[in-house]
Formats: sequence, structure tokens, C-alpha cells
Amino acid sequence: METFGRFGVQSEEGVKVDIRVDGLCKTYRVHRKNPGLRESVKSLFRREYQDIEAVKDVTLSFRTGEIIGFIGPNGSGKSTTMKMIAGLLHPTSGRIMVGPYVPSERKKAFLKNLGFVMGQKGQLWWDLPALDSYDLLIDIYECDRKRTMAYVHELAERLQIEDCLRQPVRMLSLGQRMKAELIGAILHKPGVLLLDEPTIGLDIYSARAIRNIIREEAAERDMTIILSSHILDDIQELCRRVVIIHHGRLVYNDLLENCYQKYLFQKRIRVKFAREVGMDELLHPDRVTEFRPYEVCWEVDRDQVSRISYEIMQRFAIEDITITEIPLGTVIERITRGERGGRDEQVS
Amino acid sequence: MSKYLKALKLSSQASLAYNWNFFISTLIQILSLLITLFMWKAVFAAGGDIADYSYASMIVYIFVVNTVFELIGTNNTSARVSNDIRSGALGVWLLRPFPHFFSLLADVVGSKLPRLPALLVMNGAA
Repeated sequence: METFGRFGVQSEEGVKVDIRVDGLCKTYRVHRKNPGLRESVKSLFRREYQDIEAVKDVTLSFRTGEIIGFIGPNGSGKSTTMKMIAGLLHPTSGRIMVGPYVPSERKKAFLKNLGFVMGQKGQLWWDLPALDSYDLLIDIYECDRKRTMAYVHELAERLQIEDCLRQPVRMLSLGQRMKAELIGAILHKPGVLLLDEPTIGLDIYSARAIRNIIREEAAERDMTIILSSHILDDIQELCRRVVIIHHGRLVYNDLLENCYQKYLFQKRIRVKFAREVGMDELLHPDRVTEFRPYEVCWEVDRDQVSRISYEIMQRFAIEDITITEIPLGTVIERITRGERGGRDEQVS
Repeated sequence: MSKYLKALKLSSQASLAYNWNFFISTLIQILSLLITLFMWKAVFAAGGDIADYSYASMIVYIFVVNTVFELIGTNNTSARVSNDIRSGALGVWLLRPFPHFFSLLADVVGSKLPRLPALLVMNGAA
């Protein structure tokens, strides 16, 4: 039991399941008003409300030690789901269990095993150096002071912000602050870590440093991590499994690599020609997705890639040829739009 | 217990974060008291006692009111909480295994502690 984290419980299937989400729904009641003072006065007495279903019937389970990527457009319900898992919002209906705990009850033992980084909100004291905040957090989470402080300094060194820990948090750059926030969220070594866009607005170096720490810490001990991000590098580098939410609904919940197999049977062949070619002389014109006089891009079925590229090379004088996977961003776009892009649709 | 004291300490530290803000607000505290003193001094100089108050008892009254007011003021706690609710910052507090009530209390008391010395000196002077 120990090796499966502090929350590990035995489920029916015999797999250790850390977090279970069953038929989760969240509806926000939003007040609507037309512009203008007259309408404002009117809305004092009579209000028009609209129910917005932010999360609709989401069922998921996360195993201990997994890193799951949450993907979806803005407003798709990612943050709402994460806030419900953290116990900050009550579900409208449905059930969440994090180990033996119901998050919205906010039991002390649950909160002590939870870390949450919100890219948009700071948790450290704005006017004080991060070290002062860590000092209090160590007491709040009842950590061993000496060992935890050593851990804080070790993390700071790996994130290269050792020098900034004695500056007021408000004077830190965005990258330094996010790194400091991350340390604050994991210094008590939580079993469940929620990361809501932890790399938002960061440069590639800071984002990479944060990813590395997350990966290394997750490898070190059993930590269930839910990561939401619009930066697909984050997802690709960290998560084996991705959950795609669109308009509050679960549209994909599987391994990242299956994304390709399930939804994309094509690869991209991009060719640079030595001379100008016309559309009329091209092979497989129906598969062409981009056309410029010297450069053409095809999307073809996986099993035909070698044959078609061979044909192209036979027929034309070629300067350069590259064969690539269709980028993950495009895949996700297609999944959220409900396109399969699979073999059965490739009739043409 | 120590985490409550630590929260208190942190709030005190936060109220000392801007040094000139601290000095100037202490100075204003003293000035406003002096202004009241001088006003009553002028009033009493014009003639006799007011009801049963002598100048001396009026001064004591002012200092007591001033001190009590300083100690029971709540630093706009309600405004801060409603602001936290609106901006969503309240969530940060609710995530911690530490009652929000105590962090607010620590904030009120903690921010007063650094002001106590000035208050005591003034009362001592009176």
C-alpha cells in the first residue's frame, strides 16, 4: 500500500486508483444584463440568469503516480474540473473521490496531501521574500523544518533561483515567481499535484526548467499530477495520458501516442523541388494540402508514405524531402472539432 | 500553536515591508494626536472647564480613546475578504490546511504589533 502513495486504495479492478471522478457536472449561474444605467437599475429588482454548464458528465480515473495532461480550448472546463478536484468548488452533481476523501469536505489530511499551482494566482506573500512564505508553509503543513528547508534550497538551486529567494516576491520576474510558486506548492511533498497552466507566459528556458523539476520530482516518488496547459511541449514532454475536454465534455481520454493511431492515419510529406512545378503535373493532387510553385505538402496514409515518396522522387528533381507526423496541435484541433480524419473518411 | 504564531509574525513582517510607509504612518499617528491636543489646549485656554472635564482629564480621555481605537480596529478585514472572494484569491487560503479565520486574525493582530511601541511611548508621554 505504501508504494502507491498515501492515498492509494484498492478499486474493484484491482488497480490502485488515486482519483475517481464520476458523472461530474458543474453549472454556473450567470447574471446577464444589457448595457446602460437604466438596465443596471432594472437589474437590481429583476435579474436575468443564464445557466452555463461548465462541466458536463465527466467520468475519469487517475492512477497513483500518473501524470495526466488536460487539454482543451479556453473556457472548456479544465480549470473548473481541477478546482473541483482540489475541493475549491462543489460539484453540481456527480462525485469525486481523492483516495478516501471527498475534496469539497476539505479535510485536513486531504489538504495536507495536495499541492496546487495556479498560473494566474500567486500563493506566496507578495511583499515578503519567498523564504518567509516557505517558513510559514513548513509550519502549516507540519513538515520537518531542517529537512524541508534543505529540500527548498535544493529545488531552488536546480531551478536557478537561489539568489532570488531573499527578494520580495513582487520584485521577481514572472519566470522567477512561477519557479518560486512551484517550490511553495511541492515543499510538503504532496501526493496529488494540480498544475493549472504553470508555464503560462514563460520563456522557453523557464518553462523547460519547470518541466524538468516536475518530471524529476514525479519520478522520485508517487505523485499524481494533473497538468493543464496550452503549451503542447509541456504535455508531450510530461504526460503519457491526455484528457481532452471541449465544451465541458470529455472528448478524449487515452494515451497520448494513441492520439495519432486513433485519429491520424496520415503523415505529411513536404517536398522542395529543384524547378517550378504546376498543379496539373503533380501526383496525387487530391492529397495536397499546401501548394507553392517550388514547395508542395501532401498528407497521405501511413502505409502509403514510402510508395508515394518514392514515386515523387522518381518523377521530379528534388532538392529536399521531409516526412513528418502531423503536429499534435493539429491533431487536437481535429479531435475537438469532432473530425476523425481516420482511414474510413479518406474516401477521395 | 507555533504555526499560528508564525502567521502572526509573517503579518508583522509584511506590515514592515515598506519602510517609509511604516515611518510616515507612525508620524501621522503622532501628528494627528498632537493636533487634537493643541486644539483642546486652545479651547481650554479660552476659559475654564467644560462640564466636569478639566484639561488634564480631557487629555487622558483622548489618549484612552486613541489607544482603544487603534487596538480594536479591524484593518478593513471584511473589505479584504470580499475582495478575495471576488478576485478568487480566497481559493489560495482554502487550499491550505490552516483555517482562514486564523490567517485573518493573524493579519489583524500581526499588523498592529509593530505599531505598539509608538503607541506606548505616546501614552507614556501623557
